[in-house]
Amino acid sequence: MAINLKPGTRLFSAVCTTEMIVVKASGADADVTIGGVAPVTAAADRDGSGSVVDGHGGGASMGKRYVDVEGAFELLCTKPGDGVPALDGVLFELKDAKPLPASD
Amino acid sequence: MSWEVVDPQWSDADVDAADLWARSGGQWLTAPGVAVPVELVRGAVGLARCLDAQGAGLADLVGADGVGVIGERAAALGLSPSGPATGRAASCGGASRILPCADGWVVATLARDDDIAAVPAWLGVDLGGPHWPIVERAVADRACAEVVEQATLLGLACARLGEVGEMHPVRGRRLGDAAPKPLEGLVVANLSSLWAGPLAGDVLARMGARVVKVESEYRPDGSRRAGRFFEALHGRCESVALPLHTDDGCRQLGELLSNVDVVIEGSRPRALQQLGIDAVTLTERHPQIWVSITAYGRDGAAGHRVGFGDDTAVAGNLVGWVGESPTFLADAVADPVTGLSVAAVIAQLANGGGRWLVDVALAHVAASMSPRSNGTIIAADQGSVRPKVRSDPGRPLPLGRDTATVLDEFGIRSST
Repeated sequence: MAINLKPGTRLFSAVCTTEMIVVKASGADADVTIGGVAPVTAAADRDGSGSVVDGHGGGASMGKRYVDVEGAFELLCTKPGDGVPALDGVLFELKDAKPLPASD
Repeated sequence: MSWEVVDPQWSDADVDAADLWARSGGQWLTAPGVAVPVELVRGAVGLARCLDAQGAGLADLVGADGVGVIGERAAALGLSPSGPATGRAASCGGASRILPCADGWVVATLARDDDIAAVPAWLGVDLGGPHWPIVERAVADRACAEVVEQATLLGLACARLGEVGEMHPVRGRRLGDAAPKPLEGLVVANLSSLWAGPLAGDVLARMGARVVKVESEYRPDGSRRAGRFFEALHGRCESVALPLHTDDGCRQLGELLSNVDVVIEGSRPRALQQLGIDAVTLTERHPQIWVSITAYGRDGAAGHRVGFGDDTAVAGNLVGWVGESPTFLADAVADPVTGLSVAAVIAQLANGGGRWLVDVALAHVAASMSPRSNGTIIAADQGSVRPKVRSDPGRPLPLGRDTATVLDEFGIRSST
């Protein structure tokens, strides 16, 4: 199921506690999953059914950034959980931490 | 386990605050004619005198009875005064702005390219030009709470003016007994970066401590790029660089921290936990004192927030006013006063004994020095003195210069 991803969109895994916020997106519809299942865009829409699909678990960590293979999408984990994000069935990769600023 | 008040103890002397503020360069760095809270100057000079009584030598090093620490970064980096340069109040460093929302003021720091790239996700706008005018327009008709909440989710440094309103003392959790330790020869691992933590480390080094700066090989202190100012704060350190992106590097870090007396770090608690480092577990055995410098405190949701010296000062209501508009006081002012507080707390706890986890939040230190009564001083344009660099320029500290020596000394196996 394709979801319209815009920067700022919040994604709540339907099958675990993982939550993400979209940092970068093209604005087009995309077949994104968390834990192998299409996420919902409001916490209240979680129905508590289903479980993480094999190969889509292993843990998303708070504060980590995830990018798709093409670099078109970037998601930031805002709540940790078992499920990890994927685009068209391909898992996102962990992005390096932001460099520290030289000054503020 | 509960928190206790471990505020650094300094005596409030009768000082000419206006004169010290002018001589520190703080006045020159602030918009002309802006009232400065006397509590800020009294706090800075009180802490500096407390440290100088134990051998820090700050009055000679930075001038203005030690209040010169407030201006020294701007002097070293050649920064301009803060204030309403073009439109809204800009910080000396240029990365922070105070902006009006529908129901109050917010402050934000966008210091990195990634921070600016997150603006569309923060505010739902396109970035088709300079980011600040876009941000200012977008926040104007929104509520502060909404703006701060979304920024916080994204890991951006953003706060409502004066959101830390009440007094928050420096807090410590006593984790066990230990004998007092003299500052002379006290071994400090300093994992912090930028200004507050490194300043604390340098002050402790001047008081006789041995300070080992610990950095990630692949993500070193960003202020290394600030050259001269980095050298000034790190002239008396050793440098250890570890491969913290590997399990082996994390093992070495854990072993290193078990061999020192004091740890200073400025990471969000989850960042160190993700490396397998737990402050409480370690401090129950060794080291003896662990100081966690945070933006808003370690506990709960606050522990996930990011903050720098300018925005946390505004969160703590440590601002001046130009008419009806708030403006920054000096340069990232929460940083230097937090640095002095951290050094003073460590000296105090080392002297008193015990095992301690200490939580020093930039916004809380700022709030403790924000105006409480009508005791403000007015910065006059006359007699405004440019901030000065310190008398000791320090020296370069190549990344990882002492890694092999220090690991060997503590019997830590290096990377395989």
